Amino acid sequence: LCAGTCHFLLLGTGFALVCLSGVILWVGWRGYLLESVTALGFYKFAKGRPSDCSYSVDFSELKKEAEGFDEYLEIFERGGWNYVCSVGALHWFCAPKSTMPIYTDSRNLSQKYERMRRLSIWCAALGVLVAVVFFALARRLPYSALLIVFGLGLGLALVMSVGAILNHRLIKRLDNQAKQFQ
Amino acid sequence: LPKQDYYDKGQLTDVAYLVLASLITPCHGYKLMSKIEEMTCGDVHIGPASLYTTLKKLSEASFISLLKEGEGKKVYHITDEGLLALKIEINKRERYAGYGKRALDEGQG
Repeated sequence: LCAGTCHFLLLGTGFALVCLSGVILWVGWRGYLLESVTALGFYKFAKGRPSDCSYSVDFSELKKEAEGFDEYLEIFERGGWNYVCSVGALHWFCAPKSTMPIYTDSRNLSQKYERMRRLSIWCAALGVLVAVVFFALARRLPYSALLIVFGLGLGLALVMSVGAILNHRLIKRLDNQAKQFQ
Repeated sequence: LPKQDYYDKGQLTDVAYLVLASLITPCHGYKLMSKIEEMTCGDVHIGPASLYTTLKKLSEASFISLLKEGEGKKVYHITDEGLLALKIEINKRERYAGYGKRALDEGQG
């Protein structure tokens, strides 16, 4: 991999949740630790010691700036989960492999999946909107620029929508699994 | 999805039931995980995300309230409403255990 920090684009926050665990574990073994995530789905890793710590993402109703976030973090830290970073109401945590999962109750877990499903629907809608906006812009440009702008717009929209739809399906499957234990 | 107000329907999940029982005496939110482990002799572990969500839901249903706020650490305590809900739940769980036991005894002769 790279020397200092390295970046991964995991196709938007929506889709990122799908490949998140796999990629993060893989780079973790090579001594890269997750440092931050951006809304577009760029994952930044910093060089550290190889570790097999596992990551969990919680989609709470709480944003980082909100009152009560310190209490939220404290409860996670008591449960053995260290805070990594946030995007909106999505929060990443890491812990040694044997740590108990962040959700031990299938009903609460289902509620998290429902919030994530709604987010992925918004991501897909946003992707379509981006395509429409780029299409409207591209019509006013000369032919060569038109191709570039249109290509970019369509690419971005595709990535967002397809990512969100895949994510939506994965969440549905996870949720059905969780509900079987209710 | 409408808000899952199972608290209104008088049904407590296992986690909500144990959190409510452990707040008979006031306690910090972050200490509840170990308190519940002790209370159940190590039988039940509650994950932090489950605990936090349950605390929020119980607060919204006014089954628990904040004893003091503003000094960083929040202390929760069961309310009268919560106490009533807990008693109803205990009664229900005892009855259900009884039904199962009776069926088992009768079946085994």
